[in-house]
Amino acid sequence: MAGEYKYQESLDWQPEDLFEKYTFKEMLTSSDARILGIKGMLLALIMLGVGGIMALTMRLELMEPGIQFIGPKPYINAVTIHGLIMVLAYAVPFATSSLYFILPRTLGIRNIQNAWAAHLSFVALLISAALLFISRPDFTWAFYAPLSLRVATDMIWMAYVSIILVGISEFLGGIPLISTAFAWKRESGKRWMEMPLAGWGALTGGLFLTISAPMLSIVGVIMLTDFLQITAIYDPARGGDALTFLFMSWFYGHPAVYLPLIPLIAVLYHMLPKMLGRNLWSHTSGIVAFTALFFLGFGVWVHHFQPNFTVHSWLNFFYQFTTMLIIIPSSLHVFNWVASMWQGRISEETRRAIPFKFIAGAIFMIIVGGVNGFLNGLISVDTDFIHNTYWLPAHFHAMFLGFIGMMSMAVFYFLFPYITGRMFSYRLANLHFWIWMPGIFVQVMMMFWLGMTYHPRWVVDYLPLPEWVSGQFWLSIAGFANGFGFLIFLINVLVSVRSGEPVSRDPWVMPDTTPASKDSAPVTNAAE
Amino acid sequence: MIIRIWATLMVLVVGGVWLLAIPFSPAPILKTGTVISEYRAMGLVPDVGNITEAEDLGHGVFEVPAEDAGHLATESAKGNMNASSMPGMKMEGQTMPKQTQQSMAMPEMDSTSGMKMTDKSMPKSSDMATDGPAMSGMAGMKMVGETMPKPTGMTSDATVSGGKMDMAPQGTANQKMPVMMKQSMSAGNDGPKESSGSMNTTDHGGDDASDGLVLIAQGSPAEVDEILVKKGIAVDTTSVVNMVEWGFDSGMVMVKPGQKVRMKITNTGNIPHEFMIMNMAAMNAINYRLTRPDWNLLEHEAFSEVPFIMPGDRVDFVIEVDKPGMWMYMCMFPYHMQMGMMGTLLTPDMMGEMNMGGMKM
Repeated sequence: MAGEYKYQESLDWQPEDLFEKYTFKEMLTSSDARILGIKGMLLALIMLGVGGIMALTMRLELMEPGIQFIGPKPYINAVTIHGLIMVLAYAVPFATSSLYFILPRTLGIRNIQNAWAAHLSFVALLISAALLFISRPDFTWAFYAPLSLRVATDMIWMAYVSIILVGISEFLGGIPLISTAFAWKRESGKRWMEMPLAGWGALTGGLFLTISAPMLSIVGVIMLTDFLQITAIYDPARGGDALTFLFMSWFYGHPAVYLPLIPLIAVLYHMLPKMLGRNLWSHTSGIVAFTALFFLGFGVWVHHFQPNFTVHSWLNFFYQFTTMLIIIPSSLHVFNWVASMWQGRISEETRRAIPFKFIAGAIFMIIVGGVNGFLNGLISVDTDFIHNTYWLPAHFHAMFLGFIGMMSMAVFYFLFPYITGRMFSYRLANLHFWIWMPGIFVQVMMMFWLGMTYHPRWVVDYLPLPEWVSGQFWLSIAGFANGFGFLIFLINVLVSVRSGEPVSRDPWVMPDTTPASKDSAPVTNAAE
Repeated sequence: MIIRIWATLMVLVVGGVWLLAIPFSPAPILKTGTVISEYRAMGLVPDVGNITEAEDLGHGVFEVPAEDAGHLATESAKGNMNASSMPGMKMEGQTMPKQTQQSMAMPEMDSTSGMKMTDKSMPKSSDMATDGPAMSGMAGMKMVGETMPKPTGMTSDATVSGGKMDMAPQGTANQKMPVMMKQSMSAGNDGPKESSGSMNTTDHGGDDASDGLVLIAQGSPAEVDEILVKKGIAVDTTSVVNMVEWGFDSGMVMVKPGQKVRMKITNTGNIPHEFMIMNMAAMNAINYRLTRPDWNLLEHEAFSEVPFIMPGDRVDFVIEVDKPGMWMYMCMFPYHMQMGMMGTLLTPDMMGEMNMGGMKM
């Protein structure tokens, strides 16, 4: 097996205070992959704050049955902004930006290619988010037509433009990833199979972005023209078809769930061997998983609206089958990570390292979310209690909050010394982890519980059934705990960036304390 | 420095967006486009207030499919082994006006649902809850059968023959909707020629659904004005109810017992809506049916119904409330009510009774 990462101290990964090195103006204009990555991550964290405050507002309202704080209209605004911002403005940009940061050094090339696309992507996302905030749409984050075309405010056209722009932003964001992977091939002259897994993640993630994101822009354009009454493609009242919207929107929508996932998996494939101090369990299985996930990822989108009886039966069965097949590549990824940890001892330093804790938590949560994905794929239960109950938010919160949220924190803590040249406060970071880990778990589990008791989604108020009241109460408590954890993270960043302990050498070089065994071959980096 | 700028930005953006989205959430605008008006100009959509029924069509789209009629028969046979099945037996061989059979639908539904919800939520206003379904059904049948003329445009195929047990459900199932639709159509929108005939009646579609309400007039504003002038009735209070997607702008209309209220219902939205008023017992009956996956919502017992109000259309009701109670009005198009298109007409003393599934309003 090819070695994933050269884990001895390398010159590429030295702590450096980039904020001191670059001026503010250079920060905005520099094409350095690290600067692009930092910019994207910082913007994404602002968006995480926005999405988080919306989530906490909703949680405050849902804590008890009845309407206490906000009415239905602000509530559905909060739902819309929370959903759109968290997925499109936090998860995807954070994942791609963090991959920008690590990719050139992992692949051993100077910089990411086509950095102009990353710049434009950043600007497009900025404008898109601003337009969304001004328009304050209330069409929920899935913006189902024709509802999204009718229930509107005066400024709703901005939301459609925002959707167009975010599609453009994601398309542009994928270009550097693909071209950097090809640059590795060109410069190193090695075989594709020898490319580090981060490169494979960049390649497949970039292809996901560039193939699926244009469809989002097309959907946005059609919604705009439908709204302006130039076309009537999605409006059944004027001869359109809402099913066209479903097929088009979710053709973007299912690959979209992999847009943040794949780059973060790629980063995880870089971080995990470095943290463990030894090679991954398997290099090839990672490549197979990336490739299979790429091809299957485009063939399952109908399961997002499958219980509709408008989907023909053979199509239902076909997509149930492909949805089940997704389990194979996902399990390959997870198995690879677990086996990498399992095959040797995890040293004391590794276990104490904050990024490793978050990685372990993320892997735990992706297992929680992934195992019930098996249930979600089955049409029978999907029709019964999964669709349009809290079960579905539970599934994607396990994935998005559990895996992507935890993983993004792992990445940020991991990169913090390389960005600031200082170490964050261990105590605060540890507190952050130990708030988030149970917080996210309780939150997700309570959502599953509410889903099993048929609690409907997207509601501002609910009946005071005992199982719903207690579930929502603990869900809210866990949500507030997670918000508090994020606050600790912010304080940690703000304090440590000025007064953190300076780091002089790569802090994440961990020893492998696995005792040598005559059965196991010594760990080598021969294929490096 | 940069991190401090970032932190300040974060506070500003998070706070700003929160302020924009939550306290300063924009109100939904009522008119989101001119779709209907444009198509109206092209002649594709009927003009305001111009909906008429083509009586010669007779295509029966509102009739109950055969398989559902079977379900209805089965369920009714199960639930009507008490006295409420007796009216059906008594009607053997008679030629019955449609309204009679309408009035029978309620007892059937309620006896199968066991009247649980009705008892809990509406002890005062519902006669059916206290008197029992059988009594109400009997009373309704008798009175209607004697007093009501056969509505215009109806054939006599509602005649029930034979003494079978399934007679009542079949008759009900097959005839209920056409009757409701036609009657309301003619009352609501057909123009003056028919309106005075069918509108003046106080017993509009069975008394068990009216239950404290007396319909004085219904129709377009001009028609209602005409009727009011002709009868010399003064209206005590006026209530303007606008329908939009998805709701009524006034979700609660308060009327004192003995008052005559004129409700001006305008569809200010973009798509057609329906307007109907019914009492809580009927609501609960429908609610019961909605929980039965094997039953379609094919019939409902409304006090009054205008099945089709086009955008821009206005329909007026004049209703006299003769005793305390609570009634609901809603649009029963699929999912419109679930999206929020319902409201309450109630007398002030009913406020304490208002208990919508445990939620205080």
